[in-house]
Amino acid sequence: MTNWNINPALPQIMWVDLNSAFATAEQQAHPSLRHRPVGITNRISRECCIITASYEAKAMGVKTGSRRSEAMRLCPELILLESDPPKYTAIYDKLFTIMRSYSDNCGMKSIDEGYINLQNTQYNSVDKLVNLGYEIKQRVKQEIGDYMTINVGMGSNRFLAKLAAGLHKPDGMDVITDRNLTDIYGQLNLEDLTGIAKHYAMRLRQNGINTPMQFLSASESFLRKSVFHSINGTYWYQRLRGYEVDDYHTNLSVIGRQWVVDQNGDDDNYLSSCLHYLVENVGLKMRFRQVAARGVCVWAHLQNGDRFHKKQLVQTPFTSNRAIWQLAEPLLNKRPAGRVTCLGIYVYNFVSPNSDQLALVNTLSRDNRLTNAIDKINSMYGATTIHSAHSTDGANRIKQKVPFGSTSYLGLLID
Amino acid sequence: MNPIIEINRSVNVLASFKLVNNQVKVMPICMHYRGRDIRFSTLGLCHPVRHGSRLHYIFDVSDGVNDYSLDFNTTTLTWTLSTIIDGSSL
Repeated sequence: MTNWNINPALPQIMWVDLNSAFATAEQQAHPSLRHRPVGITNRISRECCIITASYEAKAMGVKTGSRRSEAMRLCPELILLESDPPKYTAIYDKLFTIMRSYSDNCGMKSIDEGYINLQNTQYNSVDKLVNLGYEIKQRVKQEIGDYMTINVGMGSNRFLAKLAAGLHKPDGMDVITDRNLTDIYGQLNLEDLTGIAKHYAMRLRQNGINTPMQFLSASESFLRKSVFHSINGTYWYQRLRGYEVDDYHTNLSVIGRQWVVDQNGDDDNYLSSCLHYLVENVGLKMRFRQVAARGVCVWAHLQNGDRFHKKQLVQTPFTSNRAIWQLAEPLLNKRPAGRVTCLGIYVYNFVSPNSDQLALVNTLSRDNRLTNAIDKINSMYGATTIHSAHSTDGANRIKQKVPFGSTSYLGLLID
Repeated sequence: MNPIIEINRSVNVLASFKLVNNQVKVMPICMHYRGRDIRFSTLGLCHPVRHGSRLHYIFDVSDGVNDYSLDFNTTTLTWTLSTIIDGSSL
């Protein structure tokens, strides 16, 4: 028997994943939508994109990322709804409350999934862990809603726990241990592994690795030197065997916001107003995270396929919307001619907002005091009560969107 | 396609307020709308929405056929019927 050097530890990392979260949330809220094909989009438009489909819609071929026309062709009875971020945020809060009641060592990896680390808890056998999985499923129905279902996966690291949570959807529960790991890998394709998408799969296949079992069989040095050409090879070697390599914190590197331009992509005034509104969003996020930035980048995608990307780094850190806008506007004006289809901005190179450099400059201090006053008024009366007159078109058009990935700004999005 | 009908009209709602485990649980029971009383049979979801410092609760309820979103303003203690989904049209 081959010695794969698989981690023999108990599968005490539990992954919890809400099934078709946004669509199921709408079906939970509106009983008349239950057992019907439902698609969620951020903004209903002629060619909008489905961000979540209910299982009934998925059964008809509608996928996340499907365009409206394609989705309607596949499923003419599709019910299309606009996303409702406060509703999903409330469900996120309830789910996290349930998860945190079992271990302080838990976290949400996105708005609809997260992990619980049950090491050093009373859940110290597979039977107890499985019973806990059923208990959490039951609590989700009782405390969030009777139509809500989750997938639960357990493994000795986050990678295997997430993989287990994806094996039988919806409403499934799977445990991956050192005993069944190779059996499970034997039933999967490379792209079924979390983190292996098209490009990584291509790279693996170019090196003769066509299946998860072949991936597992590859030596650490082969993965590091020949496949990934970096420490990533070592990480994959450990990850596949159930050793934890994903338990790390990343430093904040950028704060940004982007917007798919729905109309008037060649109207300078409209684009300028939209970018100004994005700047106000980014400024608010930056102050929420209590950082100041020194760099601004404005980027755009153009209909003709061109990509525009312009950065500026300055000496003095900034936090106010006005300071960001003063840097961003000239950058936008340097874009090439053509219709813009996507517009974005991010700030980078962060420092503490209380650095001496800020306080020394009187005009900046005045600007920051004004910003603080506006933030206070907006926190009292609503996020867009006071904003620049110039950003009005953008504020009227750009909707709050569902935050995929990071959940760092959910507190802001409720407002 | 999108079955949600925007209403945004102030309505009178009869609701129960119960103390359960030191938490107040609110359940809209019935609503007077367009000259008739609509009795709710299901609470689908209840979630908070903040407008600045003002807290609202959205109650998604059903009478067994149609779905209603009711907005309870905790500052003014008033109810607004935000939307209806006509279940019979689906």
